[in-house]
Amino acid sequence: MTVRRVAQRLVAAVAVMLAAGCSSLKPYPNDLPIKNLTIRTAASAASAFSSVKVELDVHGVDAACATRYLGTLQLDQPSVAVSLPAGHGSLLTFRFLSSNFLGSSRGSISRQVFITPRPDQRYEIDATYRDDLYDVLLRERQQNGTLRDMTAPNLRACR
Amino acid sequence: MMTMKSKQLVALLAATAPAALLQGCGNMPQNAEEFRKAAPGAMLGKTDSYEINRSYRDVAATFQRKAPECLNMAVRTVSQTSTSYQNILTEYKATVVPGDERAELHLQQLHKGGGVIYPSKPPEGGAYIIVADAYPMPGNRTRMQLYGPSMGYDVVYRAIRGWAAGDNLGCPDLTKIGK
Repeated sequence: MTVRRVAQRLVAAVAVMLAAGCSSLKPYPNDLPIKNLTIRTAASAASAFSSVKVELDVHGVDAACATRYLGTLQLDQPSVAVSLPAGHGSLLTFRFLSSNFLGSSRGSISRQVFITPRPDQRYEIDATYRDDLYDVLLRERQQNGTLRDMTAPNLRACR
Repeated sequence: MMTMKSKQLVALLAATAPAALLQGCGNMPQNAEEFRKAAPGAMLGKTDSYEINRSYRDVAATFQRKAPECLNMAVRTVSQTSTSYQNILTEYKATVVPGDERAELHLQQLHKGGGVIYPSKPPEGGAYIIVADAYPMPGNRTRMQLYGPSMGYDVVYRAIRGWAAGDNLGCPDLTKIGK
């Protein structure tokens, strides 16, 4: 194989990796018929020379409170509809990933929310990152359309 | 102009130096009261005071809810240049002490690894890095008195102010300490 051909293959492989986003994270299927959770995301970096992105890892939680990684969602849209299995526990890990210009410095901080969606119930989460402060607020939509604040419990609530 | 290497070094020093300098060359403060006395006169130490138009009871309740949720965690900092590599695990521990006369929020910090050496034995839970006291005032107001480093911890001070005022309940991104 000539050097030129090796170089061509390398370029092609890099292009494929870039097209795939170089990500090894498994996408969350998000394929249940009912989208019972709406996540609104607002993330902005403290300076023009840095950036923040938000990812959501979804874990299933069984009756013994053991977790199983189901996949990751990129929260890169202002609003994302998510389907979680009703009546079963889900552990949601919001990861706020910050990096400065050219990626010379990176940071990752996360917040976990444990939720067991009730059947026929809708939930909303506001995930925000602004001025290096982050927050995750969970609300349940009531029958009359109003939203009820819920404390965002972590996995300890399962035990 | 600062290079990337020097910027990383400055960030790392900013994260660790204030804590070390706050402790001074003598014995490290072993409790919040010793820290209150040591911080104002320490190099890179400061005190700050402000009033909040919110009841003391609400401020104390917010501290009790938010401090453990937002501050009890560990943060790993990796700094790498062509000639050095540093990997530090920093554990933070928050304690809220409510009372009739004041509510106290203590933040302790313990560096592990990365060659960080304490000049004397840190107290259980780590070196005291910030103490924030809330005092009741007439007219449903609250006075805040803070003790801590003068640089590198702005994100924590802003979070505490937001909790006290009740207008921003966000958690500080502790990876930004020293940045």
